Amino acid sequence: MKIINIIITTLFMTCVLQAQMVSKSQSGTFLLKNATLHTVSNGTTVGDILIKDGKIADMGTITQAEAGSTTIELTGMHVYPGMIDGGTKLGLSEVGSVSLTQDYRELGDFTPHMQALTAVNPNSVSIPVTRTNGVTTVIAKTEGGLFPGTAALINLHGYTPQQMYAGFKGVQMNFPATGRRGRWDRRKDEDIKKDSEKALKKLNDIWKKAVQYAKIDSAATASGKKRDDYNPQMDALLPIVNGTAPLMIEVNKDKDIKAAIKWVEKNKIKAIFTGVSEGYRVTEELAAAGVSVITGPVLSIPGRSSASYDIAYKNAGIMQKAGIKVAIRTNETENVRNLPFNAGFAVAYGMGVEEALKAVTIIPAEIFGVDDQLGSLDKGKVANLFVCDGDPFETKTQIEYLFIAGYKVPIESRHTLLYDEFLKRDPGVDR
Amino acid sequence: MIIETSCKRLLWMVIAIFGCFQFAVSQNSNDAKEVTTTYYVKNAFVVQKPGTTLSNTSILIKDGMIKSVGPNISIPFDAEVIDADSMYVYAGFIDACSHAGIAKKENKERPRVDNPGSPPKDLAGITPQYTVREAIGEKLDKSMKDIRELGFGFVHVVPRGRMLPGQGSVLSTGNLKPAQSILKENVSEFAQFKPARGMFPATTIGVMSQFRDLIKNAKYSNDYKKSYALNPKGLDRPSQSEELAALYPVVENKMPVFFYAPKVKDVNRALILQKELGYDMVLTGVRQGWPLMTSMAATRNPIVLSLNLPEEIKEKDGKEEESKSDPKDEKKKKPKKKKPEKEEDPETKMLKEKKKKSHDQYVSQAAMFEKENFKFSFSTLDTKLKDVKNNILRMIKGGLSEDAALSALTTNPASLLGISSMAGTIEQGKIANIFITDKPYFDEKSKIKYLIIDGAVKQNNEEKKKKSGDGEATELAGVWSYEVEIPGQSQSGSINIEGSGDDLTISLDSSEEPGEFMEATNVSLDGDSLSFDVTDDGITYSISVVIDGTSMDGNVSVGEFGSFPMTGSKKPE
Amino acid sequence: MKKYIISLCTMMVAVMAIGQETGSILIKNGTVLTITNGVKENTDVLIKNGKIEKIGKDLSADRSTQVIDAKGQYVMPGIVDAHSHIALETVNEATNPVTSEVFVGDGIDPQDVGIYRALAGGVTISHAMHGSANAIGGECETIKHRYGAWDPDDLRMANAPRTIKFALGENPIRVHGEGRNITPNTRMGVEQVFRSAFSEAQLYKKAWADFNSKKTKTPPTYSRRMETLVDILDGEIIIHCHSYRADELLMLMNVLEDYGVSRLCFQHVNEGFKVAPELAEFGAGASVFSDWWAYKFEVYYSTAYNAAILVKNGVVTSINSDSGELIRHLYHEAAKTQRYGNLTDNEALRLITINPAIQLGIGDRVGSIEKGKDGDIAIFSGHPLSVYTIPQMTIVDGIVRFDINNDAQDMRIDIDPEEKFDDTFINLHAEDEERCMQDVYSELFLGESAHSHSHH
Repeated sequence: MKIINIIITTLFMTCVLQAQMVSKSQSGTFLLKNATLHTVSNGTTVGDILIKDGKIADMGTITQAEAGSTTIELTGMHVYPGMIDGGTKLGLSEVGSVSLTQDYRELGDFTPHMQALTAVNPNSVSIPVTRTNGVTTVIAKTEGGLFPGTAALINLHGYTPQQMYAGFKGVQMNFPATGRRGRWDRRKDEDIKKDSEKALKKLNDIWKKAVQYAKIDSAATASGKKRDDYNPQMDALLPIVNGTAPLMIEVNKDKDIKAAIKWVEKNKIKAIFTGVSEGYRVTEELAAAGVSVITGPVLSIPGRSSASYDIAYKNAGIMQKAGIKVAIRTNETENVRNLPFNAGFAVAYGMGVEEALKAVTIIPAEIFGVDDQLGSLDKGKVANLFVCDGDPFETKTQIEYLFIAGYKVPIESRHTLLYDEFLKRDPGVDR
Repeated sequence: MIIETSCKRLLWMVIAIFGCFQFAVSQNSNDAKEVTTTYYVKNAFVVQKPGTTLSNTSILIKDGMIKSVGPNISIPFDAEVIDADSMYVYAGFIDACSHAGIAKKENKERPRVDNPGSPPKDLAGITPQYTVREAIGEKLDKSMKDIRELGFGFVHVVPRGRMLPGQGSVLSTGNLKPAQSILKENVSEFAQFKPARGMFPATTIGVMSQFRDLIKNAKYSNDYKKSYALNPKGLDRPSQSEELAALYPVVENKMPVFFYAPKVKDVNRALILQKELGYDMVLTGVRQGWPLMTSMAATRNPIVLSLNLPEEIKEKDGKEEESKSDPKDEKKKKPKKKKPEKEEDPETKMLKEKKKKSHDQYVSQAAMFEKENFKFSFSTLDTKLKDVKNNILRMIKGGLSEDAALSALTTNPASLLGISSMAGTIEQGKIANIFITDKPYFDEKSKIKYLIIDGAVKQNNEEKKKKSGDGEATELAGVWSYEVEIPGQSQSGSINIEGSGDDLTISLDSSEEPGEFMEATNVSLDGDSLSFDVTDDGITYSISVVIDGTSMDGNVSVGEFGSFPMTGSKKPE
Repeated sequence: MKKYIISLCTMMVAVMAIGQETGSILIKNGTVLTITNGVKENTDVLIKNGKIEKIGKDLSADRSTQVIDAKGQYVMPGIVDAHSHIALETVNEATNPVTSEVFVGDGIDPQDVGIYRALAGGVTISHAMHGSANAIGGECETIKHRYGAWDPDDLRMANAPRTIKFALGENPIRVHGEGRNITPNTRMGVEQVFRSAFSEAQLYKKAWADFNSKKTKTPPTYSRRMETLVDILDGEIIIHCHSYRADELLMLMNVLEDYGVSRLCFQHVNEGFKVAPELAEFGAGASVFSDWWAYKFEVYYSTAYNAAILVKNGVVTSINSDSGELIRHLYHEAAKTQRYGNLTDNEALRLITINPAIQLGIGDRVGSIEKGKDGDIAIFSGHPLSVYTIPQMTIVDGIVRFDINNDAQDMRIDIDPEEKFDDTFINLHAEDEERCMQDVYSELFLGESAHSHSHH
């Protein structure tokens, strides 16, 4: 009797948990056989991939399966490197309207020392929802004032932020904007100008101090002395001032982009521009400046009511064709899973298919300086890849297998689990 | 206090009763009295009515009335003679709808209502029983004098307010005492699509539905009241609602609704309501009505066009530029012009062309209505008075004939308001509200030399106006009321300013939470620009306004909510 | 340079097109997705005076009929969006938990460039809805996207059934309960708001019946609010209810059953999948997002497979936009049901054509390519469910309202004669905000706290 009770209880527990958690990922050695490999770096071939110790251990024709390895037969299937979204709030926000579940916006205008990685929730329900569409790696970024914080590149698998960390952190800046902030922004033109001048002045003041701080810091280091102050904001800016790390600058309006280019050149800063929704208007300047761009969402309405209805669809392609290095982002939280569709729309409206694929794989990897690890199917790279039954940008395509850092991750999320449970609900309408 | 009030009331009654003597008796018995009420305008071009100009004609005026018009009138012994040789005489213009004479209400703080879904009628903006007499109070606002100086002799004044502000009356512009100014009382019901603040009806669609309820209930109530009057036996007493009672003349088609409908969407909405509810309506203050001309013609409603036009776009050197006559600006612009003209990019060019086209449509609206044989009048309701003449001239440039313009300013509004027997032309027996210009009025350079209103000469005092227009710097310190316009509604409160110069202490008290003062930070005063921040519930509101005398104008920006226009005025101490 | 001049000219042509007029068009050689009668390769569709006259091979028409070659292209019925707020000046009269007296059709804005953007995504009809601030919101309007018209009346779809917005859960609770201390403050309160409104309407109806039959002599106070509620009770109005949680869906169905009301379509209905059998049994429709979730707590337990589960349980389901952005690619939103739930092409296409038309009570007039139906057509370069497809042309009542080969950059109709050219830039994210709660935010100025500034 007792045993039956326990069994019932366990069954009941499983039922309850079913909708809450996805199965555990598997580690091990995996041999993927006879798939079409879309390497991104070296064209497309039919062949095998060996995944071992978290890496792509071998590629090509592998006849000898290693002992203990799991072989997965993939004839007719396609393998792609995991997609990388260059700008999201994934892991930093759980429920949009519940402020206590949001960890991307700290108080203050000058908080470059706020670390997104610190607040990434490895168990966010949105993470499995995202990766099961083939997105394995994202930038988790902060939001807020002039210097809102430091973004981090994370893999969408792991139990701690450190395990998820994918090797890039970037200080973010919101370049002072001259545009209107929303449809209710009824500031007079002069006021908009004044406000942005004020913000630019503030930025320059901060930068002057940062440069000064860097000088003192180098002097202290050179003389072997230890500084006795605590200035985490300025510390965060040191690598930017010293030119050892890029600054991620959010800038959208054409005028602002031009101003940002000038500012970056004047201060000799390595910069990544993000947003860039009006990049299509200043392609020459962007190309000449050689700045890399992370743009998106592609699926958005034009910034001007007088602009063409499809200009946001076209923007990425126009910039890419002008010789600008362009990565695509969703700027999403719970729907980062739409990254492949953003790339697909960019293709429909003018970007080449290969270029769009690169814009969500190798190009962001290059921009973040992790292209030796991520962004393509190459021997020795981290095993972030997925298997699907067709074109991954095409809406109806199904993702069959997913590997992140060599782990075989189940194609499960709250969304699939609820489907499994409720498709044929039992009891149905009659009890 | 009580004594004072009743004294005032008594005074008011005295004025009302003995008002007719006021023509001869000046306000202060120590002032010099007028020595005559007889005027003789000699040898002028008399523009008797649109299309009829009489040369070498004189006009005799006595006791405020035109006694005769003709070439050979003898000059009475007591007449003051105005030599108008080669000058032009016009019948005083008639403004078909205006708030002239009614002071802008100080921004009252919005009272908290327990249930914003059914607020008291007055707070909801429903005061159809309110009259111009009440709205003016004891003193006509200076705006009446301002409009008179433009040549207006009569104004159809409507109360200020929200959806149903009250009833309009026709006033003569001559006297600054309200009781004598009123020529025809309660001739119209004024209506507009202006929602209440934070309570029902808080949106245009709310106003629409509220309007339907009110008119329908007025009908039922009116019918019931009539049957009660016939035989009250066994019947409940009829409604005592003042609001509904005020609408009885409307539902009986005895009083037209002047519906303020500047934009095409307002015109459409006003027509929808009229079609459903069936009252007489005058579409008023129409700025952008041409797209709906066909449906407007079909309904045969009288039309009152707005004299408010968009900011002028002038052609300069083949290039369009904003017309701004601020000499400082022009100085700044000059060095720019020396640079070789950069060819405009096609996009800007296209946008400019579209803007110009739209601008031109506004300007030529009156001409379009003339072409379609509308008999329209003009209103200054939403027009800056200083622009009135220039805007009329712009409309003429846009194709409006001078005769149609003059009709819209005289005979058409006279018949619309039912005062044709008193006003609108220079004819014997009409009220002597006329003005005399040195050149034909529609000449750009014409100036008003004499104004004779209500039988008294009102000198054109343009020079005086210039002096007072400079606006001296006002002491900032004090209590200011403010209003913030948010789409669909507005919010208000007061701002306390203490200190002066660089040492200002400011606190803001929203009428949302009266008494909870928010201290301002980042206060900065730069010339006449004042800016400061207040924080409430973790949200920072950045306020920046320009102070002009006792009024302020600027905006509040609220983080990513956007930015909202803010106006305010200093409360009298 | 030339392009702009050409654009300017075509803009004029497009803008000159007048409101309710109809046209005749012959679309040749397309792959016709009829929705109700299969896919017909290499087939012509003839529209005459705004109505579909013939579907077949080698059709011909008189000279006045415009002929369009759709060889290699896909011809489908104009897309219908069952939940949108484009073309509206005001969305929420948020002052009362019950505002059945207001009608968003009174606030139609035919000059909203969003209408053109929707056309450029193949959408010919949208359901312009009141917001979700109140348990019983205002009446909505079904509009046809006759962009180019100035007169708001030209957008109204003549004789479309009346519809009204209801709302459950967080929004009415937040606005009235939390915001003003007025019931509802809980989902229990929401139920009682309905019950009390309907009961009051029954009394109102009786009072007028008594007066009209001379049983009583004093006329009751006329109330448009009550009039509308009475019309709901009489089955003249379809309820479209903003809703999320399964329990509240069941609640509303129970309430309506008690008052004998049956015309119901749930909107958003993120937890509809949990009670799909009950929805099917009641006959309630479900108009859902393709994949929106987690923007508030009541949509945390959501699944993008919602539409698929509902369809497979026999619920009349549609995919809506509720957004000026999503409305531009509903064809793609519908395709997501193939990734999330493996719906067939026709099942997926029904979600944005005949099904929303049925939910709006216009299924007999639009939503499929059938003889006698309105000449509302969308033509795509490739299969509309492919991510790579591009809308080519959109036709309303036989009149071309969008043509990708005749598309000016600036399609605005009503140009502010005082506009500053740089003025038009808008923060993209702010504009993405869903508009269900529009006009409510503005009330919060100096009032409530920031997190109310959110979604859906």
